[in-house]
Amino acid sequence: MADGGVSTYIMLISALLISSSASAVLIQEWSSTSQVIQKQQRGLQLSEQVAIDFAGDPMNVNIDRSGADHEITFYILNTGEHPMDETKMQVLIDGLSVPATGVTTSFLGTPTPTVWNPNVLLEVAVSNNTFNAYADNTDISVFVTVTSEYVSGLTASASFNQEVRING
Amino acid sequence: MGASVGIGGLIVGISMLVVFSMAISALDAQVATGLDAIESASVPDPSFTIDDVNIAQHVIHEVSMSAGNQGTGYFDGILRANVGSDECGGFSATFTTTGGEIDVGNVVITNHGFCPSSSTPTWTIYNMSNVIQTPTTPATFDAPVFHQYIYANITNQGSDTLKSDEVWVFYDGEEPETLTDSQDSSESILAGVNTNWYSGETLQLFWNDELSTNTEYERLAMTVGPTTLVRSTS
Repeated sequence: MADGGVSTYIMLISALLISSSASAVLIQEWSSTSQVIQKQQRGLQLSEQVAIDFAGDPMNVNIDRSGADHEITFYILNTGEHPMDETKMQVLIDGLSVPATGVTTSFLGTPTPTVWNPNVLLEVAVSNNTFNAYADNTDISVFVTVTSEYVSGLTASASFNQEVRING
Repeated sequence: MGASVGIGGLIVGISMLVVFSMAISALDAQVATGLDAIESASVPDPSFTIDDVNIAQHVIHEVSMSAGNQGTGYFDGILRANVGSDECGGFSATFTTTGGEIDVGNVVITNHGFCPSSSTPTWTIYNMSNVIQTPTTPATFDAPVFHQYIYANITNQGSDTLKSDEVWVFYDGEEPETLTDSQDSSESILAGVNTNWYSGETLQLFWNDELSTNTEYERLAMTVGPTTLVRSTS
């Protein structure tokens, strides 16, 4: 009788230990899953909150023909809610990816901003020898994609595509 | 035996509470994310109109006279300008005299007008009855300072109040500056930085542009957030 009681007791303790372990594993997995879901949702939310847009007169985009490589200058406004990283920008003119060496940027405003915060205007000058063939009043396609600064450990990208007319 | 069952029940109960609390926190986070997304999606894009843009080039911004050139035999009167037969858009300035000499620094422009070119106009001096004066010694005015004046009316058609610091102005697609920075504070309706531009409000704007390149702008563009509007000048 006493042996039966001890063995039942051992069985019960074992069952409790196993079920506790299983619960711990399940809780850990649930925690990981919910963290991943939350991270994905934060990422989706962030991507909704970052935006850039072409600013200025699309019919009057300046092309400077004084250099060996002609230079096109246009403006981008941060229309999102988070800072963008202008160093992580890719510019395509008529589908041609402009190398980073041919892209210069500068902030505008008084006082001159140092970070591309929301509503800060960025002047972008892109130069390439393929632009030398563009005559005045040529319509070109400008595509720009930029990555945001880190927001709670996440980044998102924003882009715009704009047809513009260049004039020297 | 009874105690071990109780302990087991406690462990199971606490585990269930932990699972439930985690599930609730996950649901809370999802609801908060959803609400944020709905909130950000519900913000309407700015909507405004550029009602008109008028440019006056070669406006006589300033008239001056050097000491010793005030002439003699004058009475208080009115100064007008002509370039050929053009009357410089009705330019008019008043002046006072002391002992028959025009007071240097007291020539007040009442209508800046606009000349057909930046050539120095011919000055004609009238008395207060609009009769040309006949001085003993004629006065000599310095070459005037010409500026380009731009006038515009813009209306906020959206439901949100905009800030003048959020509005970017472009002249022929270049030289961007905020509405705050671009305005001549002495003559513009904009009171200062971050002036509110309320829904339905029409702002009367004035730009005093120093003519460095003598370029007459043809298009004025404004960008607020994702909204860009362009208007040809007249």
